[in-house]
Amino acid sequence: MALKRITKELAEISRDPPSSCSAGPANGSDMFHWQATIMGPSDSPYASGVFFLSIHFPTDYPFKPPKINFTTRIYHPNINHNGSICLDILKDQWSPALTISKVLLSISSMLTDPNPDDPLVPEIAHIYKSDRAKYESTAKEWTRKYASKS
Amino acid sequence: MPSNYATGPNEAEITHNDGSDIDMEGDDSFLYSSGNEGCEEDDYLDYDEEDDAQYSNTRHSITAASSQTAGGTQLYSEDYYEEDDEYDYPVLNEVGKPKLQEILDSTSFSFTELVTKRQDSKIQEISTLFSLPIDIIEIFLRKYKWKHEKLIEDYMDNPEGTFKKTGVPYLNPTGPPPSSSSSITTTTTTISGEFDPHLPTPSISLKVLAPSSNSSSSSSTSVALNTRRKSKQAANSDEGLVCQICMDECTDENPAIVSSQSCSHLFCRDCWTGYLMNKFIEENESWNISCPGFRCDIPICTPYNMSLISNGGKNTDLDKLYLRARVWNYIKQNKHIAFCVHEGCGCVVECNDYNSTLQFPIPIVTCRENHVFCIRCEVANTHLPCPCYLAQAWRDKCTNDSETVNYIAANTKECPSCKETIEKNGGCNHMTCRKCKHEWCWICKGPWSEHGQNYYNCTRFNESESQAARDATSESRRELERYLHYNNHFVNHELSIKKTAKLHITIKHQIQEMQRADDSVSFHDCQFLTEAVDVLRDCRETLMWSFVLAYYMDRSVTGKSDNQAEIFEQNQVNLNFHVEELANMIENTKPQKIHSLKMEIMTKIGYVRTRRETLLKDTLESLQKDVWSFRNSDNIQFGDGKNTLQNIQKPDTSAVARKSMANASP
Repeated sequence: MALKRITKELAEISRDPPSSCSAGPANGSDMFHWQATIMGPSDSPYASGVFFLSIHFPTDYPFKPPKINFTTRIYHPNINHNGSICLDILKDQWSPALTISKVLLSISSMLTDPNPDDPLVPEIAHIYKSDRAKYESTAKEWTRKYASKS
Repeated sequence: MPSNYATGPNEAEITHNDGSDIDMEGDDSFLYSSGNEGCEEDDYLDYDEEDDAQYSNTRHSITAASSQTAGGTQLYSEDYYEEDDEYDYPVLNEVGKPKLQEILDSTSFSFTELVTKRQDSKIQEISTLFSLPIDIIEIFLRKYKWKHEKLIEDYMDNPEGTFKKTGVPYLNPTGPPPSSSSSITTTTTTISGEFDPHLPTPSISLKVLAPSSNSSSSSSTSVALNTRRKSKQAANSDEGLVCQICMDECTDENPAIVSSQSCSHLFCRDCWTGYLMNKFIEENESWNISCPGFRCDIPICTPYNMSLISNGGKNTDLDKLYLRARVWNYIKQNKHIAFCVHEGCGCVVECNDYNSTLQFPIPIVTCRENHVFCIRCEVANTHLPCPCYLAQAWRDKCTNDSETVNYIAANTKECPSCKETIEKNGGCNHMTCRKCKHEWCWICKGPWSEHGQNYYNCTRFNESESQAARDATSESRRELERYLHYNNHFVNHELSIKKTAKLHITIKHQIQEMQRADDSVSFHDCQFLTEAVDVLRDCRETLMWSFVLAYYMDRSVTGKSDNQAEIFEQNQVNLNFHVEELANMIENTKPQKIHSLKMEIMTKIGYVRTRRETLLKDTLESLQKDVWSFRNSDNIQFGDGKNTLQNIQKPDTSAVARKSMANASP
């Protein structure tokens, strides 16, 4: 079941890739481990950055959510230094009707609109709320430092 | 009435049995209306005294002596109903998940059936009352934790609010169902005005859709298809119905099932099954499973939907898991029924309306496997004679105190003479201060010289003797000491109880040794030792909690002249002393002296047992009469379900209670 669905998702995502995202198996043999990239949204301080993520599918996917982590460092209130993402649809709000491409789009929109009221890194959330300019400059700097294409 | 408060296996009349499955034919007699005023629920799975003979050989292991004294002075509940012992729930651990077969094997469906009947009758009743389909009532009751009275009250007040609260799309109960409700899966056409609670409710019921190839044949299907297409987000250009989970086209064997009229999410039967099985196995829930659609809160677990997904019961595994989760939910929500708290024990025990009966301050129950626990606290072992709320306060106190405070409290004391902080690192209670050479007792802090040669009477916190010593110490220290004093005893007995298993092994070896030494000694002759260990264990447990009671007892209110407290302390001291003697006798059994020892130990067992009974009986009587007042300096929290003493005590003020009140006023 899981493998069949993952294969279908791969076909779908290759045929009709979502804008600014891409995903596929990290190495050819293991379909349960993918690598994905998200281009920093242009209307965010992450613009022009390329962020890598690792995706691990559980064996009972899609009834259980995939495990998604950022492998590129990113300065964001909802993403910590391990790359863990605090996003409800990856936890209790997961629905088997969701797909990887939808989840990646959600993460991408989270980059544009952080949720500082439910932060994973309270310090960043505090700066985001109190000093938006400082947050943006730090995020830009981190993007340049860790996520630039060159 | 010697076994009025029989608790343990020793006092209870045991009609043990095993093997035979529950005879379901007689189960109607279990459903009866108790008619007890103040009851939270009307019907209980109960068994009458008359049915004893009929059922004693099938399932009920223990008939408590006290349950026969109807209307008498039952000290606490033995009036429980004990159920099948095979109803076991695998515990999930982090590493592995339970295998489906293991769950099914460990689930007793005869018990499930019994509870299901009770649930169904309740649903039926309310369905008729509200004129609503049973599916909706089922969801209501689950959300209301099966508290039907609250549901009826709320619904009568504000029907729409109830729908909103439970997440069910609003349905007007009085009018006939809308015409579109004639679901294509149901052959029965709804006649307007006539109400059939078993018909599916369109707002929450699933609907099987035929594969697209057949869609033209049914006009209602094409309507459904159109609405579905409009709502569908994903690209799905071809004509077939594509399941949103497996992304495969649905077939005749694996038809598409639409979630409900209100959300139109569509999945194939296999994916529905997979989704629900996952929820049932891993999360053990049935009350809040919603549509698998993204951010869709439509509740879907209803009898009608389940039968649709399991294809009319063809998927027996799913049906069984659903029943199991449904029953589990009911038991978890109902505080009168509980799973045995002992690990690995699958018994279900019911204790009837202990909250409404003021006679039961401590609802101790015994399961079929002879595990004893308090059904209100749901903590293993008993806490007799301590009332639940004090026991809870004590447990909280013991766990909440920070480690440092605990360490200081448990390990150090100030020398009564020179105030040096002293840590006791071993040895007996006879302390000699290294600094001032003062000799004192570790437990009461009184001078050692007063303790005499025979045995030191330190089980009570005798205020007069060591008053001087304690006056010198600070207030907080005194509080700490008081706690420590009782905690010491508590922990000592607790440790001894933990060693019971080890003691049993020792005893076993001793018995073997005795038999080797003397051929005339039979195995049966030595059983008194095993019995002694069990009695010892029970007594220690009682003592443990009697110290907690003593800790919370406020002697400054009732006054020192209070006879009941005096009797309690004397009983405690006496039992403590003899228990220690018995422990000593058991541990120092010499195989050679068995015959002379046997009589001695047997006598001691009998004596100690009587003392324990006396202590329990006496204490519980005093509790019921509310002779004592308890300290609230620890901010005892009376959480939900935990009775305050006011709730426990009898409403009529007895002569003794009046007396205590007179004592309280200056």
